[in-house]
Amino acid sequence: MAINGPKFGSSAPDPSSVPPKPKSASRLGENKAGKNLALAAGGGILLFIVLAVMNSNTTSTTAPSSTPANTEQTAANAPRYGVYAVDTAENGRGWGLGYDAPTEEEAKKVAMEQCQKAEGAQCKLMSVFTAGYTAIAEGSTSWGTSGAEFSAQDARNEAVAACRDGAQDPDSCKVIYETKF
Amino acid sequence: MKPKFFDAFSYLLFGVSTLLLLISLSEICGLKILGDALYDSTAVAVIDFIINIWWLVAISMLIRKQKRGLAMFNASFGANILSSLKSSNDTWEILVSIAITALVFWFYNRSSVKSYLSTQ
Repeated sequence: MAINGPKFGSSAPDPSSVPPKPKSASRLGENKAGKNLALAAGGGILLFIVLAVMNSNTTSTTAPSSTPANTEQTAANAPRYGVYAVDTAENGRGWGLGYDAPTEEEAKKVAMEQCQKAEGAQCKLMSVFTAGYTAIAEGSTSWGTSGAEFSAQDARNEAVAACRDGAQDPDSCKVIYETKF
Repeated sequence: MKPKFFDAFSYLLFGVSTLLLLISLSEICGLKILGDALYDSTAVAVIDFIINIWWLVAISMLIRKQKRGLAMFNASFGANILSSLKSSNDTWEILVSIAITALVFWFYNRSSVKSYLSTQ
């Protein structure tokens, strides 16, 4: 009859010599999947950082130096041009405005055409501006324009001030036109 | 169904979802990381942000061959279509968005993928 049990004289196995239990295949697979998922997420984060850096570079190279702090103006937008044409004849009140034009030439052409249509005898182009708020004020005997200002209020104030400067009737100066680029 | 292709597609989708998650989060915070806004409104950015979190969880489950991942993934189908419809005013952009969404859902709902998941 066979008897199961430890044989006399045999010793218990040394625990240090027992090989560790191998990790299960599913456990190994999970570790690998976790690493790969982290890598994939890392790739997405890296791409996000690259896009952010690229965008910040675009901002610094394409934004014109005269661009005001307009939060609605995105960096990807190319600068737009605007210019006034005013009648420099004595008591002349004709004026024209070319604005939101893709080029300086386009803005100047529109401004000049408008000024001449308004029967401006001696239309002359003023300085070109690229972005911001601008306004024109007209009085009974004078007019005034603003440049490109950071706010609509600044543009209105400047236009009225320019109109009142040397005017015979300063109180008649009122803003008649304003726009934003 | 080739497991390697399934895994590669899933990892790629996981990376893209992470990227979209960060972009939608940045737009919710008011940052236009692409120069121009990817989403037409903050509401759509919020919907997409939630969808992307949902997808990240679902894809990580699918990668681990858990069938619940597929159920979770399919549950986001309605929200995805809504997001596609609201994502833009441009008809072509909407159609492309719906087509990509449909492609991804078709990929995971093929019978070969379902049988692959059930063998694990």
